[in-house]
Amino acid sequence: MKLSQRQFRHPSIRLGAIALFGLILIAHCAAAFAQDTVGQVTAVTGSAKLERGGVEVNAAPTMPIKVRDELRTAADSKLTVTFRDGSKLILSDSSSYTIDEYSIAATSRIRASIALWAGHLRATVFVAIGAVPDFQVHTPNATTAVRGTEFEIAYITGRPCPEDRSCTRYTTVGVLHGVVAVANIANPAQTIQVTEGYETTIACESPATSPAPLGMEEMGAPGYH
Amino acid sequence: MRSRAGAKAVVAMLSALIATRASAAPAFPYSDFFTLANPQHLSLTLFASAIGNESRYAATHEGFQLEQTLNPYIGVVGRVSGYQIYQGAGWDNPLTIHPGTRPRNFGVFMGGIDLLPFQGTSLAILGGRDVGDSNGARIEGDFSSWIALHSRHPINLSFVGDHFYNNGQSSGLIDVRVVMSSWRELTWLLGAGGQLWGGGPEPHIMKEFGPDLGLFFRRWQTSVDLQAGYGNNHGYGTISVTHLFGWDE
Repeated sequence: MKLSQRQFRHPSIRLGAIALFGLILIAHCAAAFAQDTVGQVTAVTGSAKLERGGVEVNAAPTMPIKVRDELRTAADSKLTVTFRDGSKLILSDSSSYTIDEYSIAATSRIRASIALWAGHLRATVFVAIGAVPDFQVHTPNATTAVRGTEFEIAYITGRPCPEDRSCTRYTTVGVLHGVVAVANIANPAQTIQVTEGYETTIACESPATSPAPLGMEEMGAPGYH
Repeated sequence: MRSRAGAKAVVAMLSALIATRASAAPAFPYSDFFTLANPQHLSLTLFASAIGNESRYAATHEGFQLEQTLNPYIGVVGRVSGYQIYQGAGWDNPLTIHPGTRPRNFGVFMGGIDLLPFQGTSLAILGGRDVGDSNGARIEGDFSSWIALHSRHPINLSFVGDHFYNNGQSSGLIDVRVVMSSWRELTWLLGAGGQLWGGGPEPHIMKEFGPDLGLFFRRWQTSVDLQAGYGNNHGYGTISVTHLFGWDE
């Protein structure tokens, strides 16, 4: 059944059609925006670069961040990116990461995957009440799946690993809140759970070590000695 | 006789520790001995402590220690501290006479090497001299090792031996502490320890032992250590605060 030209000219029908069209347009734009911009730079200390499509620019506050962006910091620099779901990544000096995947619907993250190439990254992951977080951070030799909200991960090359001095590329994961599942990328089935206040190390192709308390290198004999 | 048996027990424990660590190490564990540490690391430790007991011994000391890595297994250490002994005598007292009506003050300058044979294990050997109300030489050995480092409850063993040439007294401190729990901001340890001392003005072996509580505040890189107990000087207590700074070079 077709609407006659006369019926369409009726103001209420015309308004309804415009509203419907507008809603469809907004939904499309929102979906496109959701696929495109996933967050923004919220703080830069020192010098940081953003590489998008082979073009490198200086990172600056309020700069939008998209999937597949690579972010890098120079020495004595720090870069904070806040995502639209409220999660936050703080990249320390001489470090870099790529946002491989960051799916957001409205303001709720569906799935995120970050690749840390070098240096140190601190992640504060927003987890909605009752939600199961699907936030992963990979390094060239380790994979972490976040079950909690805050953790630190570092990928270090060119230095002997304290756990195995013959290995010079290793990942450390320290958990500040919640639980993180960690595995060597060469053997993802051999996963260990790291809880708050503990850390693990993944040396070369070795499995993740059993968790040790954070900061053991700073603790030793009592001070009154 | 008893001290010889004790020394044998300590040597046996150290041998067992070295044997267990060596068996877990790669075929050539020290093949990088003649390379520089990577990264080189400089650490600065600020410390302050207070000691008191019912026999009216009261002392405080404070200072700083610098340590620079040389190769992956050896660091050089320098320490400067100030001592105040208000009254009485105890395990860290190098004075030749019992203090009189005024506090005794002296500075201690020490230097030496820190051997780092395994992850979590260190043995520092220091020598130096007192300056002020005490002005003799002193030597010190500090050993600390973590057992079951990769576990929820690592155990720390520590021994410290001192000899004060100013009054001929020697002292030994031993502590065993376990990490009870580790959280985002705090790690706390519980254990037991004590002091033995003798020689010089002290004709008998004196001893005191008690429980240890250790708190490590991660955000401030600060440790607070407490010990209270009982011994020849009756009840005693110690408290110390250390703050660590570190730089990779």
